[in-house]
Amino acid sequence: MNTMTNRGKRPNQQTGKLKALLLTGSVIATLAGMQVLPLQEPAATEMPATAGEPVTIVVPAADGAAITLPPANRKAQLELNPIPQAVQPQINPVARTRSSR
Amino acid sequence: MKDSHPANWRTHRFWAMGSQVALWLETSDSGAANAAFTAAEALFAANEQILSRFQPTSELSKLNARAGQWTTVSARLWNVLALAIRMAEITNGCFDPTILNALERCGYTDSFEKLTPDSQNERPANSVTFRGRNYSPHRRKERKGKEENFAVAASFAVKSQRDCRVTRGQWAAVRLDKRLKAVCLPPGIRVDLGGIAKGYTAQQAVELMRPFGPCLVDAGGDLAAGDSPRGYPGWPVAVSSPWPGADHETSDLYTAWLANRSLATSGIDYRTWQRNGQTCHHLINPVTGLPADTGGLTVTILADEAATAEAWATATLAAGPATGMAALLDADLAGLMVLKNGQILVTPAMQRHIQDGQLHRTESGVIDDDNDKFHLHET
Repeated sequence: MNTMTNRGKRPNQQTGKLKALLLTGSVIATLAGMQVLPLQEPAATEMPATAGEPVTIVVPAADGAAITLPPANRKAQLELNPIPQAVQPQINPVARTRSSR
Repeated sequence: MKDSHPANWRTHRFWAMGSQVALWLETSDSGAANAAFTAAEALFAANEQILSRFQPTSELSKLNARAGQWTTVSARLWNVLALAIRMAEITNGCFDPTILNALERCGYTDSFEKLTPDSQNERPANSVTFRGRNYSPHRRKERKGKEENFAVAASFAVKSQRDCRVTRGQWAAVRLDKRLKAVCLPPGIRVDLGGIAKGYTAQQAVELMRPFGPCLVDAGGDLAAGDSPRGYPGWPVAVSSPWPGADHETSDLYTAWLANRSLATSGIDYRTWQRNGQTCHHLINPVTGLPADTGGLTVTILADEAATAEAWATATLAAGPATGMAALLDADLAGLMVLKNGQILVTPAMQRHIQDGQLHRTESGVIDDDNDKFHLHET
């Protein structure tokens, strides 16, 4: 009884060894890949640059118009307005302030 | 308690003080609304009878006719006149209620809706014409640089006693007796309380309607708000653009919630008229007694009281962008000025209250390199 039982476990033991071997191999491959990836990144950044060109950032506005920021050497220091956190009225204004009517 | 709905806010409109007035009240009690509206409309009518310069029988007209003499006045006229003189003092004369002679010389002789083009061409031949005064290159050169200086108004009062004696502002020469509620205007000087009287009345109307529920008063563009409608952070209001939109309809620069405060706008964008072929407006430079042209188009002020907001708006517009905005900063007031060139200057205090500035604004920045006190919105 016992002998038959031991024979029955052998294939499972071999399968377990194979699984452990595969797992170890995949870990080694992953680690090796991590070593290689950083070596590839510098190659990706070495794109031809257009030095000296003015930087223009176009931000699409809600109405489809574009906002073009002027060069950084402009006298006035530009900064985007903070968007108020308060909820803007979702209903039409009932009254308007304006010069005397 | 269930939130209110704008469709259920009650409103009442009427004409008073040369302007369209609209009242808003949030209440489910129609009887209370009618009582509040009736009382508020009566208040406007009563104040107009006291404070209007266009009604010959008004108390103000009678006071103006007694310039040079002590006159006791009602509590209401006293309150507005004392406030006007106080605001003239605070703004160093850039707001000046004593420039009525100059206003009339420019052609603003009747309530605006009654003005006709070139109506003043029939004035006596010996009167100084608007064209001759305003368009002299020599005078314009003299004025350059003075218009944007609060201090000029005060100093000019002692520099020249001859040239502009009856047209320049003389608020400092108005004598007030607080105990007797008596006033003595300088000889030849008359008072105009137009804008500040309207703001004062709008504020009074809010206090009158407040017991009936959350309310809002729109007095021809001067807004005074009571408590917020239920479920809202305030009354939804807007700062109107001086430039009409596509289809010549009103467009808004900003929208905002308004509660227990006031918004008032002074401008030269709307009430203009032709005289001797020239476009005139009601904003007078108190130093010269002539229409002011400082580059500003409109000024909007947010303040606790509508009368104060109105006076500050006028003073800031008369002082010009640099001095006017600097004065608002010193007073820590929320204000914005729209310039003729399309720029919008906004104080930080006002910016905090602006909910949305989507129209016209394409970029923004700090215009003063040395001190980034107020912001520039370019249109």
